Amino acid sequence: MEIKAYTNEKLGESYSEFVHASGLTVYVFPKSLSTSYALFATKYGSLENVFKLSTDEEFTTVPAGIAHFLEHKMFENANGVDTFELFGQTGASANAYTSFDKTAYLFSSTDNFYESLSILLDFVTHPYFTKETVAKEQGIIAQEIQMYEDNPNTRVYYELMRAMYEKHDVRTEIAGSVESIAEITDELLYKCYNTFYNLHNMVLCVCGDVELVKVQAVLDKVLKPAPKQEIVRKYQTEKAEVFKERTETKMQIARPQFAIGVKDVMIPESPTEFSKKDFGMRILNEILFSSSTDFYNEMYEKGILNSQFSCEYDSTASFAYNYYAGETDDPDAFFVILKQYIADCQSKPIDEDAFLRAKRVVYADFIRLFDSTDEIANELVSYAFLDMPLFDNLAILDSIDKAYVESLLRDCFRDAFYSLSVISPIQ
Amino acid sequence: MLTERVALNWIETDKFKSNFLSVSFAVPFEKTNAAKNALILKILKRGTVSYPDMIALSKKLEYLYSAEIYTKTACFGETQLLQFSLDVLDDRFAMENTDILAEGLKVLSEIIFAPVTENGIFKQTYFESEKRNLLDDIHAEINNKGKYALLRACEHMFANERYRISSLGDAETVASFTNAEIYRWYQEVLDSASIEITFVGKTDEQKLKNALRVMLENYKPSKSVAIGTEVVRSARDVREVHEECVGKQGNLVMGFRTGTVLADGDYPKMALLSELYGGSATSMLFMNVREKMSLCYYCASIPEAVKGVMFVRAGIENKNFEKARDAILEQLNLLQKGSFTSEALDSAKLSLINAYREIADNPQSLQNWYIGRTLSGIVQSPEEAIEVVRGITKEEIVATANKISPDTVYFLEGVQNGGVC
Repeated sequence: MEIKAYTNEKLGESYSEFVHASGLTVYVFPKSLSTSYALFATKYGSLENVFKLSTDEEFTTVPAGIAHFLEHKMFENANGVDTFELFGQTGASANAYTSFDKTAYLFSSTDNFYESLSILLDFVTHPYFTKETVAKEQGIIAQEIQMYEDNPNTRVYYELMRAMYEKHDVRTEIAGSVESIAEITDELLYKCYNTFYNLHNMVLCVCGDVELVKVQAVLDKVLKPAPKQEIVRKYQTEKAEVFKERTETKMQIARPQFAIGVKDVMIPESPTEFSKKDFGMRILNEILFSSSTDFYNEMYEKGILNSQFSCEYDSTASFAYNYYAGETDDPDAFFVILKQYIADCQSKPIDEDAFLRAKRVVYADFIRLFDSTDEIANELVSYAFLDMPLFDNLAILDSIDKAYVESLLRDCFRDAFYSLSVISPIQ
Repeated sequence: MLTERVALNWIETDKFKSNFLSVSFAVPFEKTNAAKNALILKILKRGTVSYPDMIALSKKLEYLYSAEIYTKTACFGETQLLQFSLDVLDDRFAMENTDILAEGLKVLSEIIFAPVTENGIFKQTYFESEKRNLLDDIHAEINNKGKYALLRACEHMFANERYRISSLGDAETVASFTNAEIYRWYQEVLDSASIEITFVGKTDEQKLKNALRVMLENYKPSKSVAIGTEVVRSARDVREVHEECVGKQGNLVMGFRTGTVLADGDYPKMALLSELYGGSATSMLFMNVREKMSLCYYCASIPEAVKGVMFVRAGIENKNFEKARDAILEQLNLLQKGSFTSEALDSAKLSLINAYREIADNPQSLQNWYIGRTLSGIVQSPEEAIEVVRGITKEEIVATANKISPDTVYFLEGVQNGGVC
């Protein structure tokens, strides 16, 4: 078994990567903190609604929200013992989450790490679903869905996705809807499980007071080799332009909320370029919108924006966008102002000093990730699925120059890429 | 003590890539003053003598490798803290020779002691725009229904007490504030409040202490103010309040008087009890109200150590209000009768011990731990508390549970139209 070792002297950190005999790719990142963290993840999220194995004849189409539903149901076991009770015996704090493109099971612990790791690997590799347990979960998840539906930040986000995208499944809530989850059956859960919870499609990342040989011993004991299989996915392709320019919803809130999306279908295939673009956009957003900019200060002084304003670039293998959200009295007026501001910035070079400061901020934020075993494990998973060593980011970030950021500003912001989502208060 | 009236929690560790320093002023919590405090913290972040506007201030912090300065108010019982925190990258990551901590501390010091003033009061435009922002924040409390329900529950439960879980004040009071009045109040805070400083990180100790002493040359309080919390040990009777808002989900908040506070010296019993009752995924509330009855996605208990109260929160379907309320009370009843297994108690212990150990990995958690204890006159590290937790018996949990009494049942019903709140 080949063990790849990665070290970064500037950070003063190292980690190892290897493929276990079972087919699972494993990352071990030793870190002297009290809390150790383990994350066992599959490259399977809410977007995977039409798929098959290469050996299957037909594609399977599943109801929205099934990946998240499956995540909930994994905590039940055939012997009737709840997985949380098992972690209760080690003191670990266990949890799980589902995103658009992954499902992750995790725990943090300050003692009994290897016992907890054994529980984690064991329960995720042993599904158990019945009609009764599926029905029981529908009530719980319905309340989770309604909690999100009552949250204006979540609502303004999904309404924006439905405006920007015409067909892509990012339009649909990760948890699905009360109606869609009612269609979920134990058979469908097994179908999804058997397709995506194959160890070749998964990674394990551990970070903290951990030793590679001891991790290996647990893996040897718990995991059985998984058959190699090929997953065939069916994604909808999206045009570069947004589907709708504007959408509006009403809720009981105080002041109108907005989210502006700038759709980006130019997603680099090379992992290095993908990461470079991600960092480049972060630098660009700092340059355009940080609290040191004249634009933000003018908006703030005039009361058009307040400290709730946020901006970010989100990118995955199948969708990407810039996202600007906040509250303002007249979102349509601000939409015009923002588009005009970006158009003005496109017509002149970026200020050298602003570029330097923005790069410094992004660099410092990256370094700070390494103060938490939780952040490290999550970053490891993201870059594992991207198939790029985590530490490469420092060199990538270093390589970004002003001209590159200017090219992003020039190419990724056209009128037809913008959508506005508004939540207006119920009068 | 660093100097008179200034306590210092010095937590030296080289395990972080950043250094954390916070300066907290302790004042008695009172609703109108709390609104003033919230407004002051917003104004102070607008500019200082050397960095007179947000552009200059933000640029300086960006140069300092994204140094973060945040200001916030925090409640520990009926004591409110005005907190100023600095979080900076360690110098070893600077691309050239920069003393990030020392530079950051200078900015922090100016934010506290050298704000931009005009005619002896805050700059009027800063005052006006931050007053407007605070009013926005107050109006926006309705946006998050779960948190709003908790705030409303507190309004009812503590109608005749000063305590609130957090407070920005009410819109009418804030609208009436004048710049002179706010500025005067801030001088009053500086002239009377005691200070707690927390440092977490690794640096030249003498050098930083000297820099802190320089900062504190601006701090010469001429009076002192009594801080403390009125503890109501048990509820007289249960009040039930229903309100409505537009939404899909109902939000239930149940407030209890616990009869146990940090100052009693045996608070770990209450912390352990809450862990067992509704603090983890193996707790009685999670296992029964969520897992067995499928009533909610979350059902958790949150203890407050200084005031001696506990809240249980759940998001539920409106029609399940009685069922959820009764189930939450039923689990408390089981706790009081000792109807729980020793395995469940052991799990709760491990879970709480795990949470206490994790505190060491987070500077802000360390800060909160020590400030809460200092304010209650308790000297106890997380490690010492862990030893206490290990020794707690089932009988002690039952005795602690029997001091708990339900005080307020608050339900914010989600309705399609209208809504009174």
